[in-house]
Amino acid sequence: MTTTTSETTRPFWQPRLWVFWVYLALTAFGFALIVDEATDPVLAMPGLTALVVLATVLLGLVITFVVRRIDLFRATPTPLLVAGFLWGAFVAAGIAGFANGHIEELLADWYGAPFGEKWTPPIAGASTEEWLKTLGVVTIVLIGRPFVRRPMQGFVLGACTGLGFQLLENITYAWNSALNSVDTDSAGFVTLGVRTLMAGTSHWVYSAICGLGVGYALTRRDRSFSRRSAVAVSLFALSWGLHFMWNADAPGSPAVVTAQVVVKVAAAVIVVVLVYRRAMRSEWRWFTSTAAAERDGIITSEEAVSLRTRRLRRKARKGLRGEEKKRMRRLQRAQLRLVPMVGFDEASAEKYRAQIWYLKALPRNEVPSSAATA
Amino acid sequence: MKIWAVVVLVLAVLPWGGAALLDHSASPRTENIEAPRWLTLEAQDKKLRVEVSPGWVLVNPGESSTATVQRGDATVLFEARKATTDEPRRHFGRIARSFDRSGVEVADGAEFRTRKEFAALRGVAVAEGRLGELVVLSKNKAVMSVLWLHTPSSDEHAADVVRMIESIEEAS
Repeated sequence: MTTTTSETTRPFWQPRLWVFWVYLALTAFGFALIVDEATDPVLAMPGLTALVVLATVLLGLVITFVVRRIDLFRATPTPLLVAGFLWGAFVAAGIAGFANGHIEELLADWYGAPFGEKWTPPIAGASTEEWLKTLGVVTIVLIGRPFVRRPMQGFVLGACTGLGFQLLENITYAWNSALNSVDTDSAGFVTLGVRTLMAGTSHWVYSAICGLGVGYALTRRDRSFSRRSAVAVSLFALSWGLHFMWNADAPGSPAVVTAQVVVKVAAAVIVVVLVYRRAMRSEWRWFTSTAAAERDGIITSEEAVSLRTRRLRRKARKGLRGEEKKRMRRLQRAQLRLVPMVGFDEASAEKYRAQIWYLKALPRNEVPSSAATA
Repeated sequence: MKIWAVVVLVLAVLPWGGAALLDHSASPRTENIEAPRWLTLEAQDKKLRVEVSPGWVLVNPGESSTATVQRGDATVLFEARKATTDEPRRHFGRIARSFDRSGVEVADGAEFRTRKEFAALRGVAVAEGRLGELVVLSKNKAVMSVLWLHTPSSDEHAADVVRMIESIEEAS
């Protein structure tokens, strides 16, 4: 299906959609909740807050780099990713904090305070937080629907939504640790350090898994409704299980606790790698079939194979020198950008086709100007 | 489509609203209709005990460091905590500032041995939004903090609360 949407159309700014305004209202509401919660700690501990925010921003940049690397075709517009991040940080984190508080009270009322204290993190944390973050992915897809057309984009959107939540939670955990520490604010840094060490398998991973399910359910219209629903629910359950397992602590000696952490991290890594590989196989099938439909010479089958991974792309450039290497890099980039535009934004697709023809027609060692390939 | 906007809005507030609704409709778990005359609470191997005034009900029994007793809608929370060396004054200063900003009243003569009590009590106060008075007493190397939540009938039971606070002693 070809849309008339231009690449230059704003993917997020959709004032004609009611869901867009609901997004803005909820984000503003969540922001107000967070500001209200943050005012006292910020005023009480300005130094700690500044350093924690700085460290958190650095962590966020690292994880953002990783997320962008695993998004091999970079087809999801940045404004949508930023919108997902803000939903995670404000809507999900803001509302989940209050919901979790009520659930703790409820569990304490039903089963006693010790039960509530022990089981609130796994039960309430996994349920409300995964629910709200996943809802964020759904909302972003509804807003930027023409721009989200494959399950893998849901994975990336979920990762950004989870990252927003994770970073905000890191800051609040650091505050709480410092406030509850007997003598010093440094407990906040210890908490932040531990959470940073464990950041590789935290909220952004859980939400990426959920996001893949949302992406599958909302973009694979060629599949039956029941199948799409089953995939989305299964991936949500998988993510919920990982989150529950991470939050559930069995007391024990330091060795036992360490072993638990190792098992939990290993489980999360294994699950997300398997899910990602499965999603990328589907992504690859889409890429090759779309590339194969292009006119001869735009993307040959050998070139398509060499674009599959970053390693293969580097391998294709291996042995080339100087301008020839630059030209190959630009050619690969244009081919990668062309495929997501096919059947979606034909004006942009034609622009990339022209670039590819130009780059392929250049005599060897001729330098393509940046203007011609922009 | 408007329907999606409504669906998103409802699903977003569902966790909070649903949990709040269930929380408010649930009855607090109450056992031991009449509180035992003495409550013994532990903190860091130190035991403190409180003589509970007659007529008060013990809520959430079974915990070793905290106990809540109620009478009518008046609630008193006792919490035994670890005592530490005196906090540097700067900590008190800045926490107290944020404490005041939250609109919480601090009882005259209240004594805070550690920042930990301050932060914990403040957290409860903010969550409840109705902290009335609090007292932190230090006994040996343990601390007993007492949180008295203001309610319409709490003034009627003020004498009981004072009696209980004055009864706090180190258990053998």
